[in-house]
Amino acid sequence: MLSLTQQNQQFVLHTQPFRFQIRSNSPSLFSQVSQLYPAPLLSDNDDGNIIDFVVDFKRNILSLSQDYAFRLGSQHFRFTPLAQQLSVLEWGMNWCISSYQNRYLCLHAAVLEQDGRCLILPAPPGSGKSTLCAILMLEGWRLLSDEHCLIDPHSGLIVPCVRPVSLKNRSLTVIQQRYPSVQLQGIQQNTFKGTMGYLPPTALSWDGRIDAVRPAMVIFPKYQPDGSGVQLEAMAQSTLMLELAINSFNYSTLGQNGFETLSLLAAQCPGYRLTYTDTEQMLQQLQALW
Amino acid sequence: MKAQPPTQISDPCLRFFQQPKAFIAQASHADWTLLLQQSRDQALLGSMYALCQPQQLLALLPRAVHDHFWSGFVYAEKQKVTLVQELLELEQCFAGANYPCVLVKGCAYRLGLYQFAKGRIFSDIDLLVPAAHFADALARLQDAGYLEFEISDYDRRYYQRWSHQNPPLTHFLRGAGIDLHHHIFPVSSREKILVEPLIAAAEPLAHSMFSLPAPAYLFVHAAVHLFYQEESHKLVKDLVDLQQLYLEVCQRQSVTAIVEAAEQCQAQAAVYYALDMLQWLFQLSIPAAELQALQPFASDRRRRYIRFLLQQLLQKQAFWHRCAHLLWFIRGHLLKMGPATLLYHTVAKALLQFKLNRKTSKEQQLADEQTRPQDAGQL
Repeated sequence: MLSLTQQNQQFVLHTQPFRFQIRSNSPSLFSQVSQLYPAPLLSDNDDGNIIDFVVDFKRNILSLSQDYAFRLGSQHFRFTPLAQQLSVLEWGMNWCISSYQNRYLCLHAAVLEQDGRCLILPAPPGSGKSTLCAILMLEGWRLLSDEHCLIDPHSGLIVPCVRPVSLKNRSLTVIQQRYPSVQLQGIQQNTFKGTMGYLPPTALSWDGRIDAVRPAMVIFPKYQPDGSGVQLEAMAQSTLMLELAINSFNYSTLGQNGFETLSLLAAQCPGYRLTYTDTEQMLQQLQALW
Repeated sequence: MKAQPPTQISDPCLRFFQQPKAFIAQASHADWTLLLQQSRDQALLGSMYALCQPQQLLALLPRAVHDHFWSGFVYAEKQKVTLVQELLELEQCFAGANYPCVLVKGCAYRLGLYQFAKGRIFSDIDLLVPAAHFADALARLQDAGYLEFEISDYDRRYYQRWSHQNPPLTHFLRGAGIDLHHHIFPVSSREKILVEPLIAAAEPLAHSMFSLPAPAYLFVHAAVHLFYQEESHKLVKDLVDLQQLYLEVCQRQSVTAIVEAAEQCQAQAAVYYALDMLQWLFQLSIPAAELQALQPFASDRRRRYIRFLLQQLLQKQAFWHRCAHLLWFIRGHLLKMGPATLLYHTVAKALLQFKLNRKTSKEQQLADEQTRPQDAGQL
């Protein structure tokens, strides 16, 4: 049973492979977080686990400003008004992972599994990666991550980093129209990325949150609202490797390990560019390819 | 003088450095959590890995702790490569300079192949040149693309009038940072520490324009840096550096060499406080004769004050912990600039900080507007 006071909330998010402890004086943060994460992944502090990142999410009571600050130790990430706290918390946790971990080679990519193999979807912001990721998960794929593709340099396997899928602006409408029964959570208006909302992972995805998967294919998706049909273009191994490196958070930091890990991935997995306008056609094409 | 062991010091990083095996054997999950956060904050994760490796302690670490230590070590290794690349650029930049160019602090530990530099993070390249050649060195760096970014007029004046270095320089393409120094201590200080002996005794790097301070002078510089600085946010890192540097300098030269270097630089007081602190904090046995040679230059009142502040600073639960940060800040500034200048500086900085906060907040709003996706607001 959680014993949280209104004024000083402290809780642990048992996500994998990194646990977060959040220390906050926001009156509503915990209730918002508990809409995104299942109860077994949330606990109060003392449960015998080592915490990877202890985060302060607090408003300075002496300050004139009403804003809350996301801080990791003495490192400041961002201020936020109460109304957008959930988005900033999620971004802040992403920032912790992308800034401070070098155990895994980390690509900015969504990852999903089907039939024991996984599909990597790297893409720059605005290409529809998260929307596609949400659709695939709702079509029965297991979500490993919609943001961090963590490749273990020792095994070459992808380690899941399951967290809610973050959707913004038109993506929210797309998902809601396509899957009317799905409950989007934590809608936050007027963030610097527009309106944000979260799609909690499916039970299949949460259940598999510690099961690493062999990578099988890389697809760079690009949603084109004004185009037609689906264009699929196979990528040369060299191009694939270069594009993956560009979409990585820590490729150059990992040095030789990063090079070898990415070379292996590019040699083992075919890579494609997938430009689409019609989602149904794209899904058919994807299943045919898979 | 009999050192009293600091029984109450609970800082997890210091405890780990003092006795890693004992820490590993006794640590609870909460201790490990705290150690990870403090190590990350002090940029000590990589150093922790390097400390455990030769003692075969890595296998005894919990998985999560091992992985974070490793993450820090990987980052430090990458920094080493970047340092070498940057130095190759600097070699060209200083080609033909007919004065000593001495690399100091973190970069000197790395290039001098000090054991404790493995896994150690440093923030920028620190370069020391004689004051007479400072303008030439600065011009060379600026010509090569190392520029000053984002600095207020007040801060620039602060650096020029009271400090011992140029405002930080950053390469406009590569982002590498350089601090160009002409002294190891602020010129506005009442302490008359000399830099010339350090430069004169510097040892040239093979096939390079650059040289490194002799080991004993590296220690003197670290001691001066620690005890006359006002910042306390990297205090544990500085203390750990000093302890490991001491052990390695003693292997390469001797404690006597440290005392001689302190005498040459007229920095006996700082070195005395440093050695006294190492003896007290890490239970190192410092030869009494060496301490006695330095003691007349130090004040016992100040020594006790430093110990008191350190004890408070290293103990989060301590009664005076928060206050000690402020006292350490005031103490460091007073040593650097004297009371009148400090008062002026404090008021000016407070006003500037207020202005800066407003500016940053506005800039954040502007940047947010520009990066907002085109379909923002459409639902």
